[in-house]
Amino acid sequence: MVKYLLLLSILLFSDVWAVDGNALLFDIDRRLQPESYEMYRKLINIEPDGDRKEFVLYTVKKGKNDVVALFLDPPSEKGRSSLRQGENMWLYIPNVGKPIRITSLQSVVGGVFNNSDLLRLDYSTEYDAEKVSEENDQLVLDLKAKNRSVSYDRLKMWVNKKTQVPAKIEAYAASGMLIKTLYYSKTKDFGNGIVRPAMLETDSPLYKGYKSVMLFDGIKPRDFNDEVFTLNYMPRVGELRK
Amino acid sequence: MKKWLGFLLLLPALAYAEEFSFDVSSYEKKRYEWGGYLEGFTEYNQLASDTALYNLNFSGNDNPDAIKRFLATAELEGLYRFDSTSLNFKGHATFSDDYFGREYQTDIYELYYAANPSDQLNLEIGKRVIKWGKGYAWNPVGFIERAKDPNDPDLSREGFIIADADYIRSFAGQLKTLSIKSVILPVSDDINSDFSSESDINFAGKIYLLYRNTDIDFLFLSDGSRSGRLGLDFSRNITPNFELHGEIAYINQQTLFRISDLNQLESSEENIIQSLVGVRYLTETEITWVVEYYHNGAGQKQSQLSRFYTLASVDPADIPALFELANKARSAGYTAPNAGRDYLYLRASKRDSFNIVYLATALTSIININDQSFSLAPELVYTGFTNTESRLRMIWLYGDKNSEFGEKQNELKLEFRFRLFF
Repeated sequence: MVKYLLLLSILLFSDVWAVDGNALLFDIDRRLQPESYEMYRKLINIEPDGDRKEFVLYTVKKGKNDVVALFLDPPSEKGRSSLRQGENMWLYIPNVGKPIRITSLQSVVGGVFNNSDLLRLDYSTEYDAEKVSEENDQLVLDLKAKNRSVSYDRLKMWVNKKTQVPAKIEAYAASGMLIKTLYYSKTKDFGNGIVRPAMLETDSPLYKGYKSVMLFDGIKPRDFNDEVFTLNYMPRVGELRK
Repeated sequence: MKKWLGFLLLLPALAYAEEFSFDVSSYEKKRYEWGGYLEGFTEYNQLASDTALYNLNFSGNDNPDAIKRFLATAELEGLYRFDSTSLNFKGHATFSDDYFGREYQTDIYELYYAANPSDQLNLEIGKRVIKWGKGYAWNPVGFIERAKDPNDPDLSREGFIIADADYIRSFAGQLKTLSIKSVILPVSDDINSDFSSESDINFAGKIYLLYRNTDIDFLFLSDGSRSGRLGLDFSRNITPNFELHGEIAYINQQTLFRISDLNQLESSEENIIQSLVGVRYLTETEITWVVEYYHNGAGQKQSQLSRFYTLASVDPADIPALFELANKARSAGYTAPNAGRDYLYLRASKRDSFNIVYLATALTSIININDQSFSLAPELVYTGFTNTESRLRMIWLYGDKNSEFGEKQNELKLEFRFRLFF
């Protein structure tokens, strides 16, 4: 009898039934994109008066730590590429002719998105899930950065329970200040089993009235040689396109 | 009726979809690509008639108080792809109109054939720009490139005719990347004659390591058209927003010039060291600081520069021999940018300044540590209109008599540059 009571108390008071936040975060990453992939993104900065500026990037990623993004448009930015190897980030500008080290918080083109947004690794690589709770038909993940090189100290992520993709993310600084809010929308089937939002909208209390939109397309699983993610390769990233 | 109602209800959604359209096919790799920019540049120079370089440059002229300059530039670049090879081109044309006259110049900055047999190997042959070093304003290890203008370090520069091979390997562990670059640079009367007047086949190379999250380069240039040299540079993020970099170069038997006590221009060969150490720091308020210290071992000592400024200040009608000597010293590099020994470079820049997206502001200063003279340049850059860049900059020079920036021909420069990219 005592044995059964003990087992019952373990089942009632242990975390056996709790959602494993880190496993859930890993699943969310895989639903958003494969671990190694190529994709195209259009970044649209919208000013309070409605004026827009558009940028197109080609991005390739391998494994947990390596990602490189190349600007294809507009002509004033064409050929710029940013490389990230874990905590290391470099920027290559064709006229400068050699890569320079940059920090994740710098804004690449001005506006709401910064280097870290453009060279984002998997959420599960950068964050630990500290808490998972429920809110209506959504799961809410409280995420804490694994180290100081991550741009946002904390994220609060609302995830659609059924599709297990994020709907909204709030990004906070270490001081607790809200830096920006991201809204995922327009779910699309990209093929290869990738069904995910095709649009990400961002606003920030630091840029009142401004909005940035990121459109995703051409997401495909693809494997790359490690040498693609090196300084020497940065001027040649565009050659990876098919 | 229902159909029309449905259509009307769908209209906003259709408009929204149209609003954010994205056609990936127009960004896929094409057989050829091209682009470039058109530039208009105008500057106003407030001259300082009591300085040595004003005397040297304007003696015998009508002693202007100010000069204006206008430049129109076109830069065109492109590439044509074959299978795994490509032909690459960059051309630069400039028309200038100033006090000294009008000039039109066209240059091929780059024209080379590149082959990529694999992701690990890249081969190039032709006219190509090779830029080495981690410094922002100066690069002591830039062994096979044209001199950088520290007032405009990002300006494109002309290359040399070379053949080069670049081999890369990546690893797991502390050593993440190893690459070896080897370069052959021939010099003769017809090829690369502006690299050196001495004909020779020159070899240069660079070994790059990404070791323990630090970029490290070992570099060399063989003894030939220029004196042989060895170099080392590094760059590392100490914290995510604080980067440290440095360069050191040893140059074997570099030819140096000095004005002797007997007022003659003498040359000697000496082993010299050039070095640079710098930091890049992003503050919480998103101001990027670049601070660099540069030791130019081939530069002139303060006493030498002072002697030169004294010579350059003489009236050519009174002592023509000394004025002629000053002209010779000018040709030997006494008026080159940063001809002294020790410099400090400071630059603070901020994107989206005054809460205006696409407006960048910067304040740059170059200080000659030995004579405490300096330049100070505030600037505004606006990139809000698609494919354009507008830059307004003022450069103010300050220094005592016989100091580098105090003896420059102008005391103030106001410039405006507009670029249209295509």
